[in-house]
Amino acid sequence: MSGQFDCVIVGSGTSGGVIAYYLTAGGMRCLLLEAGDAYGADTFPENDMDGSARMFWGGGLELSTTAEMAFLRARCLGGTSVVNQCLLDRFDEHAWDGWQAASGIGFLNGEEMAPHYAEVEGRLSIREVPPTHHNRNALLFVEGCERRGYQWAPLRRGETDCAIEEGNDCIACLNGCRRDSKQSTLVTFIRWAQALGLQVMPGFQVERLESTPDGVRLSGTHQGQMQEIRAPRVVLAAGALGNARLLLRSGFKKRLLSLGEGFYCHPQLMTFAEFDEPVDAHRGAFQACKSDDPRFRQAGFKLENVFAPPTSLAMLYPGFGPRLQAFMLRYRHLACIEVAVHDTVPGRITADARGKLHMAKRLEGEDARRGQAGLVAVREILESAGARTILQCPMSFGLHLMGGLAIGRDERTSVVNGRFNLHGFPNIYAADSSVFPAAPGINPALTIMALSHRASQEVLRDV
Amino acid sequence: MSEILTPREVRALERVGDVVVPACGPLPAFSATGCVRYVDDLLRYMPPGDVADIRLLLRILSVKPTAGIRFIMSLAGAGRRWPGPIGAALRMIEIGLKGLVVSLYYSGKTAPGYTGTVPTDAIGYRPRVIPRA
Repeated sequence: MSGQFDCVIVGSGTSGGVIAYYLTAGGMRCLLLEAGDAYGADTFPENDMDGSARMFWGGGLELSTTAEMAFLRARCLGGTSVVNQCLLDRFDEHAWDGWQAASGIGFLNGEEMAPHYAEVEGRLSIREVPPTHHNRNALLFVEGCERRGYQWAPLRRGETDCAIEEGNDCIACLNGCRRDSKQSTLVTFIRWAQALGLQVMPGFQVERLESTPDGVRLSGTHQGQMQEIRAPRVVLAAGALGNARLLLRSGFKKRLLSLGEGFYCHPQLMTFAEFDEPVDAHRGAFQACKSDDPRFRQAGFKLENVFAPPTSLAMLYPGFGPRLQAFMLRYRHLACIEVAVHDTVPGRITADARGKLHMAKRLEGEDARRGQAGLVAVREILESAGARTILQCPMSFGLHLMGGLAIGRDERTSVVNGRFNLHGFPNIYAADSSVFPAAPGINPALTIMALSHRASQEVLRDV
Repeated sequence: MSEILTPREVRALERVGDVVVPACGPLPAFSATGCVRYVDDLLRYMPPGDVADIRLLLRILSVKPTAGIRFIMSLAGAGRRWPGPIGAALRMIEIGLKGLVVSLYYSGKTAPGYTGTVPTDAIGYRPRVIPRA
């Protein structure tokens, strides 16, 4: 396939969908490649097993090299935006300061990124979860925070109509929103771009990327068949692990020494608490509140009220047999709060000769201290809310997979420059979570969109 | 029943399942639900190397008595506290086997004609999706 497209975009998640839209709207002929399958409101899996197996890499989970940390990354059209909670927060100055220090890139500040935030926010339906949507899990979070004097705030979600008042349970949308309410790229930017002529190819796994004198050559498998695509330029939007794997397999590490370095994931630690009365944390709005306390931000963690479907809960429980079953029978009586660590200890992504990814990432040193401080706060909150017993789960996991292609000025310590090009490769761009030069400690989705909008303007300027 | 696992491996998975999620009050035992017949729905999406590892593990466990399976699951669970490659291997065994079992068990899928309690019903997990008008 050659000569048909001005740009190929690899990965259809939060970044790929946004970039595909702005480039197509700017008049470019674009092809969006996605390794996973395309699902929609009528075809999303209806149980957790099928959801995990079909819509996530690794059949559900991928593990760190020591198997102490599990990573979840979506593999479907729309990527992680289809299976996350679409929490959309802007970065604060603390996050931008950290990025400035790590990257030396001038525009990475709240003021210069504000127009890009405004552009993408203006196209989405974003609202704070109102108190009327708080289920008992959220009410306990608020009650515990207020008794301990901790500040909290409502979460800010991309949604149109979740029908909470009518009895809809948003836990089901962990396998995709069957109401098309969640503002995933699947139902927003990709849909809009397709209306303008974007070509979408699900089921295409890109295995190699080569820079050529007239652009790029991509090769991979589509429905079991090897295919090659040539185009003047490519945007890598397959996330921290996907982008790193493709570039590592394609030999870019020789030129880009920092490729795969600086991997962060906001390690998350779940704590469950049992209450005498049913909590029914799986009912209604799945998530509603977060901590908003400067002391927590300073200490390097944040809290969110959240819960887990039965399979995830059983996995998180440290044990098996009758003890596990007795615990699961208390499902309706459990509340949950998670700690998300603002991690500072970088991990590393490598790929072996067969293309298997290895993620060296541990919750250690300062990050472990931050996690422990968060767990102490969670225990205080849950005890204040009247918890009978508390279970802190030993396994941590990462949903916000960031870094590996850090943005920066110095070619020795970064992979992508301030124009979102790989250093030395003007036809290869990246603007997704892989370019994060440090963990922000804030939900990354909205900033990925804003960076992607800015990157799309750079690509259009280059054409 | 499975196009990926041999009958011996399926039987071993059922025995592991009954150790991980035995009958308990209203919760049925893993093998009673017949959910194992859907194992291919999981395995066909897993990396081939992981499937090969699980099959090897199941073949090893197939010759162990139930007490032996329980011991190995206990050992694997204790791997959380072990450093180094041995701890990593034990954690992978625990996550691999337990993940397979609880994914099937809480999928809500049961054998045709199954009349017992569905595990998700027993714990009160029945999320509602209100269709868009």
